[in-house]
Amino acid sequence: MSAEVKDRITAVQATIILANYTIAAGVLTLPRTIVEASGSPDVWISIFLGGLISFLLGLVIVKLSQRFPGQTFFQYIGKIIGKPLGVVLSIGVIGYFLSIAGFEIRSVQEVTSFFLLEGTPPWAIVAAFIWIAFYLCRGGINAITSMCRLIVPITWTVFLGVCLLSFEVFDLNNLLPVLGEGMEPVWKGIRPTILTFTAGEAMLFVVAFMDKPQKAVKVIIAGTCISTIFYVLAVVATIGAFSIDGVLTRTWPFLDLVRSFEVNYLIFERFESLLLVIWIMQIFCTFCVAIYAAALGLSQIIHRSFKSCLLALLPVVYIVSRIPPNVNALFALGSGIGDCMLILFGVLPLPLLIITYFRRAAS
Amino acid sequence: MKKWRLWIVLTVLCSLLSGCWSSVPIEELNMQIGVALDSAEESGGEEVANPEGGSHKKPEKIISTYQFTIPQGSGGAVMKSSASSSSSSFKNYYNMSETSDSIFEAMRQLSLRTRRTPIGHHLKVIVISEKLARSNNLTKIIDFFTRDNDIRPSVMLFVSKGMAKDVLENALPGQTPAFVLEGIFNNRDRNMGIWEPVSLAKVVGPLQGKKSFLLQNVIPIDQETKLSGAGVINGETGKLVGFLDESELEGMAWLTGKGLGGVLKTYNPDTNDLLTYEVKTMHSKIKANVNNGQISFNVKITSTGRYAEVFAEKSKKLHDGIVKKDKALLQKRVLEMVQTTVTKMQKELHTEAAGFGTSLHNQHPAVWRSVKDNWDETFSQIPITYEVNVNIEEYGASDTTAE
Repeated sequence: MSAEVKDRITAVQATIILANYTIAAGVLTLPRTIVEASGSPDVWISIFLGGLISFLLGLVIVKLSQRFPGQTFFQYIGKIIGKPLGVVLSIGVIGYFLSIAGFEIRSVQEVTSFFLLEGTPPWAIVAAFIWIAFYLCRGGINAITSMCRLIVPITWTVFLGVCLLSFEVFDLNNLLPVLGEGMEPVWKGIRPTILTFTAGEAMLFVVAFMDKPQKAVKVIIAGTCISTIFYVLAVVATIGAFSIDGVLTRTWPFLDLVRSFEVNYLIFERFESLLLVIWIMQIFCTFCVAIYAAALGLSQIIHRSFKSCLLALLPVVYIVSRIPPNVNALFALGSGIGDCMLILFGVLPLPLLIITYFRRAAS
Repeated sequence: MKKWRLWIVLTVLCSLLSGCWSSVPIEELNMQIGVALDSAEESGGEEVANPEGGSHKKPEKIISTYQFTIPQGSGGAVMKSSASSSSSSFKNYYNMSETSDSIFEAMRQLSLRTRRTPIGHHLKVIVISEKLARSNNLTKIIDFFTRDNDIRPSVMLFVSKGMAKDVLENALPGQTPAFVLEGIFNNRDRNMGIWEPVSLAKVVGPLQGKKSFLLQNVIPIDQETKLSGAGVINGETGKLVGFLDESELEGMAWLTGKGLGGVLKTYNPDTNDLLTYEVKTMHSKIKANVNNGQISFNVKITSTGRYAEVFAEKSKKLHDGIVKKDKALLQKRVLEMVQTTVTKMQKELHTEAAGFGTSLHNQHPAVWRSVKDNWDETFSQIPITYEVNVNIEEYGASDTTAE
């Protein structure tokens, strides 16, 4: 399956992949980063606006991909801007996906070894993660899709359940007044939101696998809506519990939200372990999609078999995940990746689309 | 051909099924359930052996008292509390104290005395003594607990007039002080002297945002502990500035509408007869008015409830006229309590912890920005009007009339 894509997925499956890819480690820290940037409880408006912008960026990528049916970004980029430039850009995109994978896996490791498995060596956590991802990705896009579909009911139920249960510590006053300081804080909050919405770039290759690529616009609409709902819920629940001042003091605000209440007379009294375990699955999805994209890109550029490329990338991901020396550096890496995303997938696709348009018009 | 695969699976299974990586048997663990923090200066003699020539003396020393459970059925019931061995009843908890200026160090010093590892996952309450809370910013005192990975932000905070460690000493036989303190909030619908539970999660925000708030005050009496009013933490300094007594705390419950139910008692001024009303619901709405830069508040309190106890020479028929009179008496009593509380906040404590600032912030954000830096002082000059409406919905099983 190196050159031509054989696997096919439906629009619903593509939506699930997209949503799962978007919702990842960002939720755990988003309430803090977004309040840091804006300093007002109106950040939920920023998330809606950020979702809208992210949708528009994704739309450009979808339109671009739809012009080359059955081909991934790595295959068609050369046809737009020429082979050498295309390879450079592809390597950039591969590097981006690798950084995402490294970032996610490091986040999992930090959270897990802090809250869940204190004393377990980091490499043990990461190794299990990487090898299972390797096993899964060997099965191709269909295997990833099945896995995403499998975990969606579990993770989404637990997430929504936890948000509902957090009503116990919710205080509406923490979210008021709405627009008390005008729209300025709302604008400021948009940037961290967009950085967390890593959605559109998945469409660079997902569209190629779709049996009906014309439905890709619907996919990006649905995918963005789902992730927007998740982010808004997480941020509203967290700020409602901690107030904007309190959120600023929490390293992992969303996890602390779940840790800050106990439920009596339910099967479980505490939900942080449950949420964490399930969130690891969610991050695992993102990790698999990212590393799959990177390996796919590599195999299509150098025309080697997908599986050997995948295997070759595993150590790279591990090294990337070990680069940040501490948690601060990890968060810095996260926002660095977000900035790269803005350039790679926010600024670039539009000129590419325009070039494509004129080339086709000329021929 | 496939045999080697089987061997790999077997090897992996053997290594995985042998057990969890960082597991510790539960008998090896010491479950912390309560912590009491006292200022070391106020205690006469430390019972705890202090290392001679302690090198660190700079910040105030804190006596940290940790309460641990003795698991039932592990020989625990035979062990006695180290502190009060005179008590004849067996206890299912024991306390250990250590003195240090670092709470973390104090906890780790426990490892010099006991083999079992203390774990914080099940910590329920933290009691802070009045003296410590008056002289230290609460942010510093609770920093360890909010930073730790085991201790959850759901831990309840209390203050105590007097020694906090005494609070953890006292419980009725078979009960555990920390669990009693945690569970007592279930009684909030029965008595308005219980303030809302305030957990670590709920104080980090106000402390960071310089908002004042209340912490339930708990005092030891004889064999038990008792909730007695609330301590007021000033947001600006993060320190305890004073206490509301039990009736002032009830006034606060009326003022904020946070009470879930309880007792409202008054006397008929003519006959001196007792009249008790059971609060079923209460609501309060604080309206901020700004006129030419002058801030004023209007507090609207409504409540529904029933007659609980009505004293009279002979059985009195509760017709509408009497109900109306009683209603007026009850409203007057609520007004008195609320005014006492507000006067105390304005004149004595100079700290506003009832949510007037929040109302102003929500209703007039621009005005709030101009006054928030000096809010406590501004508040002490602000006129407040009240509207109290008590609605007696039912009369109990006696004396009703259909007139």
